Amino acid sequence: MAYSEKVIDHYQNPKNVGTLDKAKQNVGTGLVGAPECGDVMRLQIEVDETTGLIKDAKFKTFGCGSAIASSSLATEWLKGKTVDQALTIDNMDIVEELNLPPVKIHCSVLAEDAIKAAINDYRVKNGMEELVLDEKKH
Amino acid sequence: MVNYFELYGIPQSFNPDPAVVKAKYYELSRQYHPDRFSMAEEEEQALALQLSSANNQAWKTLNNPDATMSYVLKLEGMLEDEEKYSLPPAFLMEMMELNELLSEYEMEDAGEETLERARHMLQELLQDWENETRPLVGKYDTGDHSRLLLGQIKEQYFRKKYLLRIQERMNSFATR
Repeated sequence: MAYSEKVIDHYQNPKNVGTLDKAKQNVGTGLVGAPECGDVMRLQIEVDETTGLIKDAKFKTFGCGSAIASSSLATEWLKGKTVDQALTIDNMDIVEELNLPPVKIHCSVLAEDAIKAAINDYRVKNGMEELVLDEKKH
Repeated sequence: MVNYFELYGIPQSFNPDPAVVKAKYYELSRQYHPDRFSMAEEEEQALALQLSSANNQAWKTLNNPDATMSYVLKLEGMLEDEEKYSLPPAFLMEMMELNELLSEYEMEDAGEETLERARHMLQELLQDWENETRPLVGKYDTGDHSRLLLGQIKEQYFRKKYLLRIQERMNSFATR
């Protein structure tokens, strides 16, 4: 199967690979997995407490090229958004941007799940209610 | 779709007796060998071919404990295609850690002791997995087919997927 150029670019030069200090109050960490392929993805956001904007986002993904590209793109999109805006990132936007084939759509779902999990972690840490996440199929 | 356990005349189980499976495989291989049907009716030939390929599939499945686990869970309706399944965060964290160790090693800023550490960690996880899984599948094989038990086995099945994936990654280092 041929990957799109954008997938290859994100795969070869992933943006924002790394770790944020998960102990910090303003850092939210999401850890999700796709057991069928043995993929595991960690995505973190750091929120600027005065502006409420996501000032940094990092990820680490062990999985296929599409999973790495999806999380790399997600971290790019997250920066500069408010937490509420970040919640509106839909996996289909990732699919479209990266031109993912149908068999790889689950990778984008994983990235969306990771974003939501990171936001939830941030919310809980800061005394907000945990969001109920809808069950999207991988 | 032929049920492999029925094809081999053995009870549905996570641990089919390897000796019986092997004997059945050879027996059916002979029985459905195409040479024996060269003079037969077309319909009969087609059926023999179908059973012969089912026999090959049955052997491949029942001769491999991981494939057998997947097969039994599917027969029990416990696995769906592309289903979403969440493993406990603590487990995912361990998988992350282990993968990170391997990446460190891959980047060559870490020596052999890093790979050794990862190998040791994986060995322990595989051993834990065996110890946790054995009593569960044992219960199934002695008659407990409850959803609760099958759910626990399913979780083990998905854990093993991660462990195998990491093992594969480690093995790829050995050959480079």
